[in-house]
Amino acid sequence: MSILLNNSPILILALPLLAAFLIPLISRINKKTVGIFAVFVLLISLVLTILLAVKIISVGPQVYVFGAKSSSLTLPTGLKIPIRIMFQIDAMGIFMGLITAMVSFLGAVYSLAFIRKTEGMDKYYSLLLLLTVGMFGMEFTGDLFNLFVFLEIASIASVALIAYRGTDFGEPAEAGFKYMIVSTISALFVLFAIGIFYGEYDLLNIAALANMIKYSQLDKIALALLLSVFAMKSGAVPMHMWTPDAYSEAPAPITMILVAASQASLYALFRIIFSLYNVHMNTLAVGWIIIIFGVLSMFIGVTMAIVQKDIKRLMAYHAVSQTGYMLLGVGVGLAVLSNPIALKDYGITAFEGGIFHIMNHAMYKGLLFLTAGALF
Amino acid sequence: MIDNLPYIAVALFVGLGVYTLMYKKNLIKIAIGVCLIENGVNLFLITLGYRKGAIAPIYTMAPSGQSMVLPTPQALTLTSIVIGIATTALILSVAMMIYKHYGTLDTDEVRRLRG
Repeated sequence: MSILLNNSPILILALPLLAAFLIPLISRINKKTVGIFAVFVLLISLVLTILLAVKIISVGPQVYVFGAKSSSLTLPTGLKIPIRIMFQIDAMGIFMGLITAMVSFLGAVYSLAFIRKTEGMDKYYSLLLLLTVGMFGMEFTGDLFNLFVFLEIASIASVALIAYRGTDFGEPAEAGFKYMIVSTISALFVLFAIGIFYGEYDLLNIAALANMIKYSQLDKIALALLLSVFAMKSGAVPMHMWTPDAYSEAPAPITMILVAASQASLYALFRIIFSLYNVHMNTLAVGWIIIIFGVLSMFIGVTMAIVQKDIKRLMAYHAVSQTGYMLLGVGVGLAVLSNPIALKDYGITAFEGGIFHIMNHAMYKGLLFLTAGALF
Repeated sequence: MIDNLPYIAVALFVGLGVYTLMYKKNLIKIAIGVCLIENGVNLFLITLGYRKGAIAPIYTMAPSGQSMVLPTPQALTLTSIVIGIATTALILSVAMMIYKHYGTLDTDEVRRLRG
């Protein structure tokens, strides 16, 4: 039991990953058990996430280092910088992890009744598990390059799932193409920013980078790239064109998981801002940029939702506006980060509100999309 | 100047890729634009890993006292190339599906989703 608990950060990811590649084999034996198997694996993952959350609340942030003698050995002997890949999970990370585990478990349960077509079912469940792995990875990782890899895993799996009905209809393929281009470009620019960090500091670990970061001209370019890219992936307004198409054309349970996936991108944005740059950057300016993103998303998202005739497009535009509320809350907190009085007055409350709304949104919007799936 | 040549090539690659994405109307050409950006980023990573006069990091064959290259950028580039193949294949297969249903690859005509 203690071994299970000590290795839970990796098991949460490794079990769905292994199951994703086992599923095509299982479907050779019996096509009907595939869905049950995926639900079972995601249930184990959910239980492990809850156990890890209890541990993190009672003990504190957890570090899991791959390939070291002990999983908490961050620095190899004789070296000054961490070179191993590691997971760093704090309260915020496990908060997102809980949302991911819950949403993907519910999505898989709903899929049992929703996906009636038997051919291609193994691929559907494999991709669903891979999408879950990508999201977990983005939330747990302590390494910038791993963030890129998991971002790509999540986006490739989600594109294939959005275009899942593309064999029968044209529109899902069109939405899938849009999302594919958006996510590939964003992942490549994330890689470019990682290259800038590596060239400057020879480091990829977020915590080690945060100690070294100087906010030079190159860092500003990297910040601009990362900020715009993750805002685009989370569907904030100037770059929201993919959101209504992708949300409305994906199968209903996938839309529910996609909502959580865009929250994972939002989490990556917060991680870059707070863990990596923090007080080294001009918090007032960056905070205001995020506030402007947020306010634009709130107004334009809701205004566009009013004129929609399709229920899933309406909900998708509403989802865009809800992302705005999170950005606004966190942006206000960030703008007053260097002002202790204002931070105590309303900054912390704004943070809490923005972050708490991530959970609200993932739950109620996901369930709304499921009702839309039940309608037609 | 000559040392900066790879960086200029990176800028050219990425610039051409972004131009292709913005101004070309054919889905296959858009896929080519994505490939161009990807090549530019890969070249950028490889260029960062270059050290003048350093040797490959193989311990058993290393002459003593000579500096070695850190293999991280190469590992990053390899991963990125593999991911790039997957994304390109996916883009092309989705473009194929679009062609089957719409009978065209022109982005002006592949526009049933709007508003």
